[in-house]
Amino acid sequence: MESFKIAEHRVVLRHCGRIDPTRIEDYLAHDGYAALKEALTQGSPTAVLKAIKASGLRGRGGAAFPTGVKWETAARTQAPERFVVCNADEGEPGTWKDRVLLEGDPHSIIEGMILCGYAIGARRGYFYIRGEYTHAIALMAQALEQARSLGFLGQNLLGSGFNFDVEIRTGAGAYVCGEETALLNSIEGGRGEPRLKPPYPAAAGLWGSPTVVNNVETLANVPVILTRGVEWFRSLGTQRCPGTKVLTLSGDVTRPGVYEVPMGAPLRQIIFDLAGGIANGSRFKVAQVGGASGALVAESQLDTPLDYDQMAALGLTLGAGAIMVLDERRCMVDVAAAWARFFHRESCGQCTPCREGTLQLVSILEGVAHGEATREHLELLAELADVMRWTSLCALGQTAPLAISQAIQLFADEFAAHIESRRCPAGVCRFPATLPVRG
Amino acid sequence: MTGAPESPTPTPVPAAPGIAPHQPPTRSGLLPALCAVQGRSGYLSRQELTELSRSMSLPLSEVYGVATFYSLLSLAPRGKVVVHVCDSPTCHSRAVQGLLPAFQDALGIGPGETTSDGRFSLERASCLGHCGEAPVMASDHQVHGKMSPREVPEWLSRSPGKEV
Repeated sequence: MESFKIAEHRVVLRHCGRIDPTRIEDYLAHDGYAALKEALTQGSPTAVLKAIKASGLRGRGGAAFPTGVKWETAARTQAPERFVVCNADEGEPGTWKDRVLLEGDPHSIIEGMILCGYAIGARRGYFYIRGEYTHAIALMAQALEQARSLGFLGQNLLGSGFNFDVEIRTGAGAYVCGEETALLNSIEGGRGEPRLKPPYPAAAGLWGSPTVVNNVETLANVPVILTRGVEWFRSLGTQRCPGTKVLTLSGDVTRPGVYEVPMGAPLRQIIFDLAGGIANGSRFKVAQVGGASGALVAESQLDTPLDYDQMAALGLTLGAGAIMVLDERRCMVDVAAAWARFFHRESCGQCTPCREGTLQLVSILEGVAHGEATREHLELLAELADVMRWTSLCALGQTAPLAISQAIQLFADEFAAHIESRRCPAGVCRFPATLPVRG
Repeated sequence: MTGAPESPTPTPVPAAPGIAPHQPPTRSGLLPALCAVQGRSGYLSRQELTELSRSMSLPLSEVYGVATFYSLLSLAPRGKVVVHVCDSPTCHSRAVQGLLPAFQDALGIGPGETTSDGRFSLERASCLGHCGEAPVMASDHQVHGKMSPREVPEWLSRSPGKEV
């Protein structure tokens, strides 16, 4: 592939760092609430719904479900009450784009939420923000108050007869609440345990009512799509994934950070041009795209265009856009054990495959890291991974073994060195002085 | 709708006059109420959980079930300074010697424990959302990024927990 420099294309992030997030006046001076004003005074809920559907916008939280279809399902489901929920429970390791948006441009997200409420006929919205994001929570509370004082929230918005208000709910430390149905249970006052799907929230969500649950970045796309038009939006990105994606680059890159690129940009350019390549003159080993629950991308796959479908066709994931880069100094056994510990700690414990499966993943991988495992343990892990993938209740248990299984295949020699020679090629793992007695 | 706790949500929405807005069931205020109690008292005592169960007409077991589900809620008193050290895969891979072990060594306690003088509690965090600055830790809503294990003793000596 011909080498070319890719540039950032800021659509969702266009206000971040440029406007004062504490002043609604700044947002108003940058076309803020223009889409809402137009929709309420000259448009209709159907027109908003049609535009979002025609834009081809897909969920930016990772599931990539067509946003307009989700909205339409909620709008068409007969019910006395409907809800909009903004999922700001960003907890995927390697992802912090929603925090940047919440802290840099709160009103875009609020405007997107009101427009969704208008389109589907909801009167109430909930912002579910993770408890760790205290600064974002305070900023959002202030922004909602400002929007309320100018009549963008409350009763009879801008004289349209449409009533809509939003309440903040904060999480209290639970990764699984990022799963939409766990999040709904948390809002309802229960343990944040996922529900069996279907029914999907768009048909039966909060208190059984049709509920649109959208990611922060998805909602932030809504006002700009309506202001600049569907055609403009579809001119960005790829045919099946229009628009941009906000990415977070972490790990062993020269310039870790938040970047926004059109969908379809090749990963190689993102890592080597935007993020400045591998730090400290080291060599690329592997990238994990999609967070801890995402898949590993080997060097030979770096030219894959980053969009949901082209990644999925190769068994890869884009997820929420987290890209963690590992250089050659990292030990894959050590990293795999860290993934396993993360999922074990964050498993809600509701279903057996995930609760017991993550525990066994930790046990086997720490065994490998300490030179106490055998080949049979890896075979057992492969079987366990299949069971977890097919029988876990939610995505947490289904995806927990994904990167681990890939690491065992891609870096078979590293695992073999730990098991057969009690040696860590990267020099990270430490082995007990004496071999344990095996029965 | 009787006996709802005072100000159960962090940002209560003023009741809109006229058209009755949706009233979420009382139960929905449980997590906000637990967060409010912890914000006030520093932890959730058995007495406060019992009072909450009575005022919200919920079985104590259900209040306990929710209180123990979330890692930011604590059922035991915690230190003056609570240190949250990120142990996510992202931070882990960036701190080969380990930031969490450095805090464990310096404080002489494990994750989830409090020093005997009540100054420090140590918590293992899953991801603090500052992965570009890995490895990170947080305390009193302040995030400290690119923290080397070598800096840990000095950080502890500067933190308010030592000034008592």
